[in-house]
Amino acid sequence: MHDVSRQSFEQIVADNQSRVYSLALHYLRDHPTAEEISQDVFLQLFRDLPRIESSAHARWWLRRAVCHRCFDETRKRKHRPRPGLEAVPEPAALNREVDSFLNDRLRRLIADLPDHARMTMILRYQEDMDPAEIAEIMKVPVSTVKSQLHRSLAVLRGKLKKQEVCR
Amino acid sequence: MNPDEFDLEDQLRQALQPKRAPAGFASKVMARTRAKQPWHQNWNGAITLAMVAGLVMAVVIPVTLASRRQEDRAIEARNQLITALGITKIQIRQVNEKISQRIKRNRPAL
Repeated sequence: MHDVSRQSFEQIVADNQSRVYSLALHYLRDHPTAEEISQDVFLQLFRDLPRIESSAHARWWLRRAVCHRCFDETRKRKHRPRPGLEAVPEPAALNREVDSFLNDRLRRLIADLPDHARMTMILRYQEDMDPAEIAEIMKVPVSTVKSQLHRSLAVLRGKLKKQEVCR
Repeated sequence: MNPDEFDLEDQLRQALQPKRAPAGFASKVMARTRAKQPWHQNWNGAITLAMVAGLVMAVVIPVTLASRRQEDRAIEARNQLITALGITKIQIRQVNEKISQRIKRNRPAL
């Protein structure tokens, strides 16, 4: 590979590592697997680098790749259960971040959503993507994304109200 | 928008804020790409080697075949020549015998 490509790849990794890792982490709630999947996705991108046209294209490619890798991982886990985030201690760096009880509660509630609804919520609220972009990445109709978002918000609101957390 | 919903969406954005990638994440990725590099290089090398080998075979095989065909034709020609010489030798011997017999018959008795 040319040095220029290597440099641009290094820049892509630097710009997107937190985004890709967080997508996998919020979806799987398992630090080691999230890191493993994120690294694999970047290596996959490295092999496909000649086909990447811009940094925006790379960002779109990475979001789509990590999203589908997460779905694959969930399918595998259904056959081979693995310990989730609850069983893994938080790394020291994360403890320094402001992580309120409500945020943690919300993340747990999102983790209970069905696979596609969960990814839809993460792409919407972590990545701030609109339903059309989410639909393109997840290869589903926009109407499905909209109804998943609507239903998931209703479910979360209902559960939070039950616990008297929601205003 | 319902104020409850607005609060929930805002809270979701906070809850799902991107987390920092683990320390050394980028360097691990770069190290893995470097580990992959020789494989690519070897693969490219193997393809080049196979192409060169193919090219050599494409030249050497026809030349060898042509040379062998020429050699076979030369051996066949030599064998035909030996046979022809053998026949000629027999014919010369026969003519020689006839001439000798005629000379004997025509020689006056002493």
